[in-house]
Amino acid sequence: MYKIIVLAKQVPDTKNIIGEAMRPDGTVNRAALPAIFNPEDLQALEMALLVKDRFPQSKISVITMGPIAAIEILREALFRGADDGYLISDKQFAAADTLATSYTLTQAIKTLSGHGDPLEPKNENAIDLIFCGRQAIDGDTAQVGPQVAANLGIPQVTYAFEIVDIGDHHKNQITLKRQLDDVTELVRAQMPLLITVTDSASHARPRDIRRTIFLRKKKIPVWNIRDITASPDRCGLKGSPTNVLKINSVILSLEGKNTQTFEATPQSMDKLAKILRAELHQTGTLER
Amino acid sequence: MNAENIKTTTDNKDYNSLQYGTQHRTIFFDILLVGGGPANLTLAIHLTNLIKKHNADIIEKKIDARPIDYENKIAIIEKGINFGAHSISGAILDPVALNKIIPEHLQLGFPIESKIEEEEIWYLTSKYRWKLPVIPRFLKNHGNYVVSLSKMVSWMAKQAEQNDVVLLNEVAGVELLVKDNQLWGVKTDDRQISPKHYPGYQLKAQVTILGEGSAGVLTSAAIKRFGLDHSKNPSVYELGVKEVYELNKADKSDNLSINIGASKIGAGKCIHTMGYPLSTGLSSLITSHKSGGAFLYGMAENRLAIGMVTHLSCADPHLDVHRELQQFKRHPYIQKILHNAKVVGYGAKTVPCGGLYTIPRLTHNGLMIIGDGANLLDSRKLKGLHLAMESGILAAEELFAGYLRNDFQNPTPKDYKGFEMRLKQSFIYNEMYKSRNFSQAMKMGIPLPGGPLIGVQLMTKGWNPTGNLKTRPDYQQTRPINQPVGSRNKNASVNDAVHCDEKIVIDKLTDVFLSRTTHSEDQNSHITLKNEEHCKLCFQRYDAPCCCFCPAQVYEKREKKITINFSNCLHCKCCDLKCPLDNIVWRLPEAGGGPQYTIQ
Repeated sequence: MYKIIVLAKQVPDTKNIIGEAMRPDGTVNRAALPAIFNPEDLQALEMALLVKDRFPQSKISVITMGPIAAIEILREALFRGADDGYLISDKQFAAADTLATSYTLTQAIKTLSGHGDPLEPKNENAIDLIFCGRQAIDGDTAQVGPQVAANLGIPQVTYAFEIVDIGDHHKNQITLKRQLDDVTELVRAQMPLLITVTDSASHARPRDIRRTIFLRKKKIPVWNIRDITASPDRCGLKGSPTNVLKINSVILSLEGKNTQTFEATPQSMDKLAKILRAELHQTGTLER
Repeated sequence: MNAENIKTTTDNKDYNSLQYGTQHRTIFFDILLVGGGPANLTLAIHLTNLIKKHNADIIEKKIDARPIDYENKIAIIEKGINFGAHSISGAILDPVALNKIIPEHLQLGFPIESKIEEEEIWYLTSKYRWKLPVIPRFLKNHGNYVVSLSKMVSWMAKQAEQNDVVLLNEVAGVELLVKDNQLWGVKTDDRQISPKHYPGYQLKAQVTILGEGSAGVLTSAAIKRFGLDHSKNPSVYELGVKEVYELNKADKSDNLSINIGASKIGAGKCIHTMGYPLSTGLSSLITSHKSGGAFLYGMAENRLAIGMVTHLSCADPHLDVHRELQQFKRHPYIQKILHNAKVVGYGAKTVPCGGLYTIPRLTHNGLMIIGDGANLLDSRKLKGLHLAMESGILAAEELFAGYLRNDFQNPTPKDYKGFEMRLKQSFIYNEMYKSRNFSQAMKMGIPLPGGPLIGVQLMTKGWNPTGNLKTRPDYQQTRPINQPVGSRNKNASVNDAVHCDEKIVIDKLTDVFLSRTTHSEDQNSHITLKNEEHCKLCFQRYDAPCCCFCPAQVYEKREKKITINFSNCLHCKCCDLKCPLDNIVWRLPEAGGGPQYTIQ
């Protein structure tokens, strides 16, 4: 039996863009895009649920920081099998960069463990595992997970995509597969542990109808800055050292580029291959 | 199954022990509504309003009765990812039924695009247009709303949620649970999320209401299973495709409208057209085998809905409604409207246009059919939304009477025959009676020979001099390629697409992208062929009409074989209705798949 926390984020759906997704000033027009559960966070939830499938006494709590509307994804997590959800929402958290966000989430995790030491095994609310997606599809930084681990002072396994064994050798040991560029790494780690999950992990199970019926009205706690005893100086815009100087909206255009059209015949495909080979030789990518 | 069994399972609220793979796979409801469309949502809202009022009256001691507990007992399932994701229509809404259930809907933020202030009917030839000087009364739309059906449905779903109706989106009913000639509910879809398989639930209810919309899979299955269409005319359909344009803001001269000659288009305006490109002039007398029309509805935020509807009974095997719509937009007048406009949405649906004599029997033990699935559509007014919603109201009243009779204490499916009686006494029957021959005459061709027949019908409340017109299933009407089918341009082959400039003329696949349709590729194709050999026969005789009529390019001909790109599917189901050899089977895919309409 493990105590598990899943960190999740509600993000604008950047896969399905129709209409004006970007404002002229280069910021994302969130109103034009539907809000969804960040896909990798959903896979992190699934990994947590797989642990729960094996150890049904485990407890999964999902935490998200965001506006009130983000309660949607917590409900979604409950419908899929999580035990409870906590929304961390306060005006003072707005415009946070990754440092401020990870501080806020760390405070929330500490609060969840009854303000005791989240890592002290004697504390009955001590955390064993924290799962989060590798990165959110809106910011793509992949920093928040590792920063939370650093804040809590626990080890981390990033880019995990599969749990090989858990609790088989020792109750507090877990073996994971990590997805690196061209190798898969097998890592054995000690809990408490933070794991960030990549998109090659298994996809989330569908919503359970019975859970949907009975949990649709469950009250989800909303915590503000005082509830998690966070210092206002380290939250939101105030706590964010990141300064965005400029955002460029890059639009790839064919105008002014040297373009050629090839018919779908073997001859012209040969021609295309030749041109590409020549270009690769020129740039040195392909050895002669 | 017995009463005891049901009690214990409904009381079981221990959802945490119900992870996937456990045995408790049945859930019981009083009323299960299949399909989250306007008809079912109206039913749910109206019924819960009635129950709430009843319970309030008891508390205030106005009446002496037992309060009705419907918590977790009335549920709607919807196969789309959200409520409204699969809802598309023109759409003009006559708010007559809406006023009955939520009179203060405008104050509550009902999403109307515009209120119609001006309407026109055009007859188009390839270059010119002729404006009808008088608009027939039934096409007067003053005061009606132009709505985006997906927005409207998602708003109505919120109202239903506030009334404590269980909303289950992303759940598809794929099979009827029939026992002893009674309907006990539906089975939901299995999910394949590799490498795992998640089996579906059995949702059981004392009344299952099928409000699936046009040509619903379960509706057709139920009609067949219980023989509900005995001695009725076969259902016939129209296929409609629609694009939503964002008009160029720079072009708007005054008050969100664009000047085109003497006409303006913008919010509050609706235009219906006949003629070009389907059939024009006197040539239609001998050659009209494509019939239908187009529409332009001004929407809010400078948007314009532009669509084309044709009868699926068309004899031409090369019928392609999407192509006709592109052709329509190339008309000089329409081009002017669409100058510098940008297409932002697309969708398609079938429309049941058979009229009064195609309405099947609507009730059976444990079953009720409402809305489009019951063929409730007034083809004369080109509207079915208000009839669908009204049928929801009537069904709600019938079910409420059932609650008062304590019908739901005893868990056996019942036949609510009173619903059909209510329908016969309502304005639905009245309207549909007047238009009982309209669509059939329309199909013959306008202006001739359908025109005079329609004239007679309008004067005589729908009477037809040659007797009530019969319908034939759409798929039987396709003619082989070697027979003349009238206005088909022999030189314009299917592959010879009109040049796509992505402004006026939009490629079919670009449009499919705009519908945001997607299906999980882990599943098997939900569209299957009964027999692949039949396709070879079809190639010779009909030249594979599915490759043309499908508005989403699901079918492609590759080396004498049909390839099915099921992921493109828009769930209009026209292939199931129109394949000349009736060789295509359309089943429900995994829930969550399909288009994701937001403004359509």
